Amino acid sequence: MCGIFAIFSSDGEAIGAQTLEGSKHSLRELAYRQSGRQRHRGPDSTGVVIVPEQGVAMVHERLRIVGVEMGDQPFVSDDGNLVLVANGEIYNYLELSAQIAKRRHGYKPKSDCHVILELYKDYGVDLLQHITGMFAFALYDKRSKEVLLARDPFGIIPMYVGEDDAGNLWVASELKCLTPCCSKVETFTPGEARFGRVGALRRWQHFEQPWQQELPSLPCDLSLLRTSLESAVRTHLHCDVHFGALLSGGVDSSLIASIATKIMRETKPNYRLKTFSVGLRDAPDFEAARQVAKYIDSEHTELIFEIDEALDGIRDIVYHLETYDVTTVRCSLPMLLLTRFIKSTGIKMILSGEGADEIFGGYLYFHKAPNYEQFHQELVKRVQQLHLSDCLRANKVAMAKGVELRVPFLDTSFVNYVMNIRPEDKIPGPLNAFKSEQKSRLEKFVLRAAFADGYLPDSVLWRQKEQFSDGVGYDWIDSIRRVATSHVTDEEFAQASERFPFNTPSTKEAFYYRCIFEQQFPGDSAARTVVRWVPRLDWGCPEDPSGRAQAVHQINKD
Amino acid sequence: MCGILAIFSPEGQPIEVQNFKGSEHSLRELAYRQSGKQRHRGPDDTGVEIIAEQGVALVHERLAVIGVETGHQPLYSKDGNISLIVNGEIYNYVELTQQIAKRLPGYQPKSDSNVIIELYEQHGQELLQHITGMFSFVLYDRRTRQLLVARDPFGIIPLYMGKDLQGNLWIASEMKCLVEVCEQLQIFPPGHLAAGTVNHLKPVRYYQPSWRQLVPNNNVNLDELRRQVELAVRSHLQCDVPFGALLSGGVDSSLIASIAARIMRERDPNYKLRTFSVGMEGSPDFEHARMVAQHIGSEHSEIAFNVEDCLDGVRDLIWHLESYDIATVRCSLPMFYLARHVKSTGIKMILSGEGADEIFGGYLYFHKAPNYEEFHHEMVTRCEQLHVSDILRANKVTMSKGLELRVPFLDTALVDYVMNIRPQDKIPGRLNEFDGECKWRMEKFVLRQAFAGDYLPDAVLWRQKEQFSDGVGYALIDALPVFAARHVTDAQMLLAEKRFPINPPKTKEGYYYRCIFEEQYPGDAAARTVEKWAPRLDWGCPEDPSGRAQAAHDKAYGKC
Repeated sequence: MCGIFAIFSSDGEAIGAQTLEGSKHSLRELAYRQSGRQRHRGPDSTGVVIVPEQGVAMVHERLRIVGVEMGDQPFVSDDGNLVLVANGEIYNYLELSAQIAKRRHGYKPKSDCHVILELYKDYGVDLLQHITGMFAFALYDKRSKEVLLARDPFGIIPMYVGEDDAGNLWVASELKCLTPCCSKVETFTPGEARFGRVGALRRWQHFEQPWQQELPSLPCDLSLLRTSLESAVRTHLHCDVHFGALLSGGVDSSLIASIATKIMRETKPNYRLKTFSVGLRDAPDFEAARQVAKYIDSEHTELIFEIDEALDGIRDIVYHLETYDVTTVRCSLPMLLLTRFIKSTGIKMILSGEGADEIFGGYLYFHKAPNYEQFHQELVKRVQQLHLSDCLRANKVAMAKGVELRVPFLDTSFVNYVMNIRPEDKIPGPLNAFKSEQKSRLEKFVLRAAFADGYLPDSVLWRQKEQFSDGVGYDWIDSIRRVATSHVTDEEFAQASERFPFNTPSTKEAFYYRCIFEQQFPGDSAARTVVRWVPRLDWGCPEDPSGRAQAVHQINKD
Repeated sequence: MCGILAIFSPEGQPIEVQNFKGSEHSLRELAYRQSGKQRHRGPDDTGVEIIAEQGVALVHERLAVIGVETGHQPLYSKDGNISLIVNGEIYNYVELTQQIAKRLPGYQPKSDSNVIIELYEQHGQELLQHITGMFSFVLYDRRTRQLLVARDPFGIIPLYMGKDLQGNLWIASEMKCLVEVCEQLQIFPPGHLAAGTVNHLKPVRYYQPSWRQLVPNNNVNLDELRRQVELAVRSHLQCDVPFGALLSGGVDSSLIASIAARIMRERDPNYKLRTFSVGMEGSPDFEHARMVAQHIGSEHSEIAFNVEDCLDGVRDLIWHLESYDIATVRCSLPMFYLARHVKSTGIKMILSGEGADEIFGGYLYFHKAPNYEEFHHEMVTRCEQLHVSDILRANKVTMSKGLELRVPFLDTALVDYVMNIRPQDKIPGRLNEFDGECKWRMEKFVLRQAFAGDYLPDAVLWRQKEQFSDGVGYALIDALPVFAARHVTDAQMLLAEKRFPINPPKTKEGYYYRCIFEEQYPGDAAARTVEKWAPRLDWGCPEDPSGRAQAAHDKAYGKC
């Protein structure tokens, strides 16, 4: 994975030298410097293309994963007219390359993302109907001075756009590249595309599915569910460097690790996956992860952290996450320590279980959904918000240390399959009516049932969900709340709504994160890129977002 | 290798919460945040120790190279009273461990640095007479409130110290950790130690070889010289992670790679060393490096760059180097590019040839040395300036990408052997009197002669030196002044002495680097830590520091 950055002048004309922090910067210098703020995303190399007479700068920070030797970007078409910077993985690139080769003999892609350039020649903006994967890219056509920007359906890969005072368009994987140069910034919506000349960009959703609007009626077919997930994992294993898998101890990441192991053993019977888990000493997650590791015979490492050590990272994590959302900050800190450790072992890519809770309705508060319709609509909403919460966290925390995280549950066709399953089969608790037999079932029942045979030990397969931040050890949440709170006085907190009229922090903990965010990302428009986790108070959920505070969990513990 | 940072209150009292950049910071938060500026030195792991009641903070940013699993720092004595943070490698730690184990049966160090604690318990500050290697460390004894700070003989590892407004003492591997908080700051001098309580700390020299003062009169013994170089390389090969070697195409790095390959093959006859070279396309160095790679059977990679790729890095490079010296910036650009590539291959340690030019008198201008005595003293000066020039560059550029560079030519025993050789044997040109026979000889003649045979192809073994900055391609050297001139007006140049009274820049290129430095490291104290390369004008050397400008080189190219 990588970081991308681009500046397109408002009128397609040259951009002159300008002063930034006291020094004169040419367009290239400015672009290189600002892109440097996300260089952690691409520790391996930087590529720059400048089209000076058209006021275009495109920068690519690269982490070499697929096409190690050849894949340095920006990619430029043979005739020199198209320039592309892409961040992500196109999982169906082998099929696409084969198709392209039929039209252009001898075509060999320089990496998975290279096919985007070729498909643009053939299909124009409709190329978005052909690629699947996680991606964000900017493509520039010198002849027409047109720009194409697009982001994957669920926003696994981040992308922001901004505008400076001269009206130039800025694009970057991380918000930090746009501050302090852009007075306006916004999150580029997942599943969106924009095309045209700067100032006249047409916007549309390239990802539109019936399940986004309608209540699906398809009964779940467990064997189809199983094969769909298996093929999703298979496509996510394209990788030319060392990789591993996270084991949180929950069913989601454990399933991914188990399936990946089985696939790798088809060609290497003695293959042992490298797996990792993180927690405080005696964290509940460790035991479950250990059972999985033993079951799938992985080469397993436990990273035990001290509370103080994780707290050290608060300021850095807000900077990397670009959010002040309390839940996201809390559960990202142990993950930051873990990804640093993983990177130090030489691993560049890691598989994880994000997304299953959104598409299957795995969060504990889903037990409170009053009916099928509301349940499904809440799932849709959670899927749409993934890019602001779990995906944002997963991507930016891993990329903070130059590790690529892949999330097979969010494979486009797999999501489409699962989101087309009727809510009766997925809803947890007494409303569940799988196979038309209504009885109380665990959340994510169909997922667990589909993999009942030989994938995981039963104790994990049927384990109740823990929010990640609880699973690492119960002391963690208490400690971070206490430390963050201690930084804020009553007087400061009393001024919260004046100081932060937008998304006013409701606790001292939230106030503290907000202050750090404000220092690093000043301005209203940056604050508006953040959407806070909002509990379904109307379903009777408590304000506190930690899993433990949710009643179902409490019942199971007691 | 790693990064270290320490804060000590002046009287051993607690350090209160303080406001920094708009937020309240506890001592721990402040230390962690400032140390974060050198986290590139230790990408793998951070260790923090706070002794709140004594106002002490110790932070260690770790790149795990030896004792990967167990070497987390700070390290502690058994009773917990002594804490230690170290950046570097103690190359004789295996022998030292055996000695310690005689006194403490069953002793097993957690990493090479661990032995410093046991040696301190036994010898106090005299421990510095026992360890060899490249290092900077801070040791604190909480019972006596004594600290011991030390830096290796040649300053291979950087170290800075400063004082903030409250009088707290700050110590860090890189100046960037100190510059915002300390009003006073200075380089901690190489070969020095400082022991005592915070208020009575003064660096004193512990490394005092006789060759610093006296002109030596030992004849070189080529067999012994070869043995010493080989021993040095051998000790530098202790490493628990993948490593490689740089090949600049010159004789120094090539020799190191050749010797390393031989030693590794003693253990594994099929061993292939990984070697790397960097340059612009068509650079003469590529060809020589390729010859060496072929000769020693290494797995070789060539990293070619274009001028613009390198120019992009100027601002970041000055941030990392903490220097505005023109020669240093120039030579570092390709290396900066290379280090990123090497790191991306999974390699964490790399061998290189720095130091040979200083101890053998390899620079071209040494041809102009008027006599043996001045030749020797110039070498001594160069050795003492290593830490502000080549070594500063080598260390900070590679560590900017979390890559450890090791320089066997600066092994203490090897330097002592070579610097004790009489200048008659080492001086280049017609004053050379090797083996009692006075005739014109090439620079570094004795080194080359000692490794004649099948270590290297003759074309490399007897190749004339190129300054690294020239060897990578004249186009870059030519592009830099043009590039810099775009940023500096003639009017600004006229006021250079006013704006920068300390080391005023004389060229637009120098002025541009200085402006970037000033932005990142404001203040006189920071500007004074930089020493500019000064040519021996009295020997008739030109102002321009590039090797090409030196006449001996032109001669080798048939230009005069």
